[in-house]
Amino acid sequence: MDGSYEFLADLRRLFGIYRRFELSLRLLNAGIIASLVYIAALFLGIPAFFRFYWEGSAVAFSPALISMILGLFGAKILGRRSRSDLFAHLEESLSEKTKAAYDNRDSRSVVMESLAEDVKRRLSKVGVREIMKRRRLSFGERSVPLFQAKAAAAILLLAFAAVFSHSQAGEEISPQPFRSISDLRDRAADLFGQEEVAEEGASSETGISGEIYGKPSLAVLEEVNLELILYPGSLAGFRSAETDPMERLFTTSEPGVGVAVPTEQYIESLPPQHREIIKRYFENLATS
Amino acid sequence: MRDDLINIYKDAPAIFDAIKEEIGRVVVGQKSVVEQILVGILAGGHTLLESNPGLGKTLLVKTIAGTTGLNFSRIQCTPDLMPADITGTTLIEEVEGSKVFRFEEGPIFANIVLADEINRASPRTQSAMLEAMQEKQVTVGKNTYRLEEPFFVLATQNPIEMEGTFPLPEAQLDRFLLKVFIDYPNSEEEYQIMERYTGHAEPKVERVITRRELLSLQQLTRDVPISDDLKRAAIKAVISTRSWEGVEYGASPRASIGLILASKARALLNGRDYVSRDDLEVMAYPILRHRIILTFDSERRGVKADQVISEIMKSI
Repeated sequence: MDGSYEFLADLRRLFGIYRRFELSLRLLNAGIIASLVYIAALFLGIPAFFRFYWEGSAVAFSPALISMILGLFGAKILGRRSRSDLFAHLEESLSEKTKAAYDNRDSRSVVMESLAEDVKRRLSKVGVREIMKRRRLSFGERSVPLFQAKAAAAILLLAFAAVFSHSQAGEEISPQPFRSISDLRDRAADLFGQEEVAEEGASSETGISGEIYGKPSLAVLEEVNLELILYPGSLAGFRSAETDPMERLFTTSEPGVGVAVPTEQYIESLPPQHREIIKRYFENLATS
Repeated sequence: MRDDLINIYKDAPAIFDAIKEEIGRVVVGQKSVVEQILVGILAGGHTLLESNPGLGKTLLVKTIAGTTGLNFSRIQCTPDLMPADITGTTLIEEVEGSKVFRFEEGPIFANIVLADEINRASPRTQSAMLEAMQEKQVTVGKNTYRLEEPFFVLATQNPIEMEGTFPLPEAQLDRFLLKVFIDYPNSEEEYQIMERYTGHAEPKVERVITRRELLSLQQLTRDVPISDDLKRAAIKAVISTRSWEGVEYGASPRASIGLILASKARALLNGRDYVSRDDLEVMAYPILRHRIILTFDSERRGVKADQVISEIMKSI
């Protein structure tokens, strides 16, 4: 012995295989979780929502991306919770032997040397297939190799998600509000397009008149007259109603001279016992 | 030395088979008891055998001693047995006209000591055995005498006829590595016993292991590798006894050491070069049962130490 037992080399080889096996299991876990999350999102119409607003943009793929991130995150948590080691993936007696040999790798004795030789002989026959076979998923009394079961589940779920996302079924279950939003978007896009044309061109087919506060103004939209009233101070919002086309005649006149006329009617509207007092107040106010 | 160890290690399964075969000539059945006593011998610990009278405790110990080339002595414990009767005493002897003191060794100076019905000895005499059992030495007057290796005390006691007995104190019980129960034989075994011991010829055993071989096997026992997981499990089991419901006092760290050593010995005895979980689970009972003191309430409810150990071993 040159200071280290030969079975350690076999163990290092198996550690490498085991790490790759664990990584594959984690990726499969991530695939399964991501598929489940994406399928749930499809049922909620989230990918359709993103495609609707950000079609052609990278944002449209964010549900898929988020599903993948959640999948990786979930796989990491699962990996932490179900932490196992290589020894658990060996046949029971070999596992105990190997663990004992590994934990006593620094000791030198006749028994340890015998154990090391035996472990080396048996570990040299262990490969990735033996490790895969040992990790099993149990269904009552039956069990299947975990890796194969996860791989099958991941493939099925991914296929389902792919088919489901491209089928008409996905659209049919889109929420109703999206459809009305869709109509609005089309109309807004039309209007916006026409305004751009109006700004660029000389004609003013939209015909929104200049003085609009408090007065009905006229907007012509696709040869339909719209009466618009904007209220001063509101700065936003309008009320529109369709009217028939009508001729409007505008005439100019000279401004007249204003004369102050005391209004009796106002005095009369006051309570009789206060009339005199209020009258004196206004007379004093006028003379002061 | 190393070559000797290698040879003895290779021959160990054959040696153990031969010992079991020789014991089997005299003792019918009781394979588990034989195994546990051999574990005690390999681990270098003392064993307390407990059974009802007539189940062959003394015969078993004498037979085991007979298969080895070791000095064997028997102490029949009685209430009037004095410590000097065990350890030995200093005599005045006349040599060439002058008187000299000479130490006369007691029966404790043997490799295998059978302390029969140890609970009948007075506490003073029981205590005299403490030093010998723990330190493997005897002090008489100002002189200390080393006991020859290997040294085991195989003590017996029966759980009935408690009148006139002195139950072993906990400190002394703790010095026994194992406490082994001997149960009644089944009907087939009893038939064989009857056949074997009702004829003229009494079965005899041959010596199949030498002192040197036994010492080497003891050394090999300590070399049997055990995983860190099992070491931790053993410690956890022992620590659990201290806070387990229904237990007044749990086992000491000496129990942890004993459990590991006994598991190693069982592995070697069964031809394994590593300790398995099964070794730990089997040896937990004889290692822990005399180190657990149940509460009064548990005893009133008829709970046994073995039941508690079983629950503890399931929990770890």
